[in-house]
Amino acid sequence: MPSNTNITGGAVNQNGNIVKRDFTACNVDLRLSGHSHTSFQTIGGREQGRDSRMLATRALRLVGKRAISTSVCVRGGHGVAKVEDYTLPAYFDRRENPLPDISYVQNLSPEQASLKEKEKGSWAALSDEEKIALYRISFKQSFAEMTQGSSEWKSVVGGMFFLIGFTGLVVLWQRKFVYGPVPHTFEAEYKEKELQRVLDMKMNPVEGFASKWDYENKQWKK
Amino acid sequence: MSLAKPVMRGLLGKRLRFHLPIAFALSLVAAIGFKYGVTEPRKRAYADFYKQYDAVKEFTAMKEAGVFESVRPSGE
Repeated sequence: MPSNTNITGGAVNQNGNIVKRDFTACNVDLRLSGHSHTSFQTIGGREQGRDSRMLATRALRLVGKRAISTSVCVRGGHGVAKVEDYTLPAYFDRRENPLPDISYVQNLSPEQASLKEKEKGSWAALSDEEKIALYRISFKQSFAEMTQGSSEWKSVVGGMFFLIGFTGLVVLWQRKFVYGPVPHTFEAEYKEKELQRVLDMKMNPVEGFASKWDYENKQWKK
Repeated sequence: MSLAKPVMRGLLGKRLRFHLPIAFALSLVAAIGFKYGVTEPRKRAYADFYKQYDAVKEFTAMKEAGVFESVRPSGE
């Protein structure tokens, strides 16, 4: 195994800090020692193509570091654009995506860094608090925390009712000030003639309208 | 801190074993309810209506009321 990969195959830089494997197409080898005070690290071109296996278990997740090139890499006469923040892998707590692309904590404090070192050894030696601390490095909220409900639905329903009520007021105003008169077919006299014609035609005589009319006694059936 | 390991497998199977019989039973009840609550009364209503139906009498009544265009009431 090459000397600058750890046991899980992730790339390790000269300082021994663990960095996430990155696919920047930059061939400029920016050493970590020159950038250890910034939170942005780059990976040299020779890390490209390193064959590393990423074990998909939560406890072994490596602390990823954002890889943003802080200068333009020149290769073959072309410039490489600055990598935007939103194009990089993001962290988010979702039930359907339990293992996000990056860890929650990107910049380890010294205690956290030493804890990560200890994680490389036997896990039985870790105490419960240390295990929880490691979990909190990798993840922001536990499943129980992220799936807990809130009272937001009350505001939503309340807002719905309010807006529906407001719409009712708008409709009333429209009927009074916007719409013209209804057609003449709505007049009472016309409606009477219409009803008489419907009964004469015996519309729906089995189960419908005309079945409710008593033709002998000329009245509605009781 | 030693929690019991949560159930990791067979979650879909468990859900199906619970919900599928209920779903089938409810659908069956809905179908049977509709058949005997709606369709059978409707069939009976139509049968009863047409048992005592005199087409000519109905036609004459409609003709006298004046709803047809091809044949006017006997008065005109």
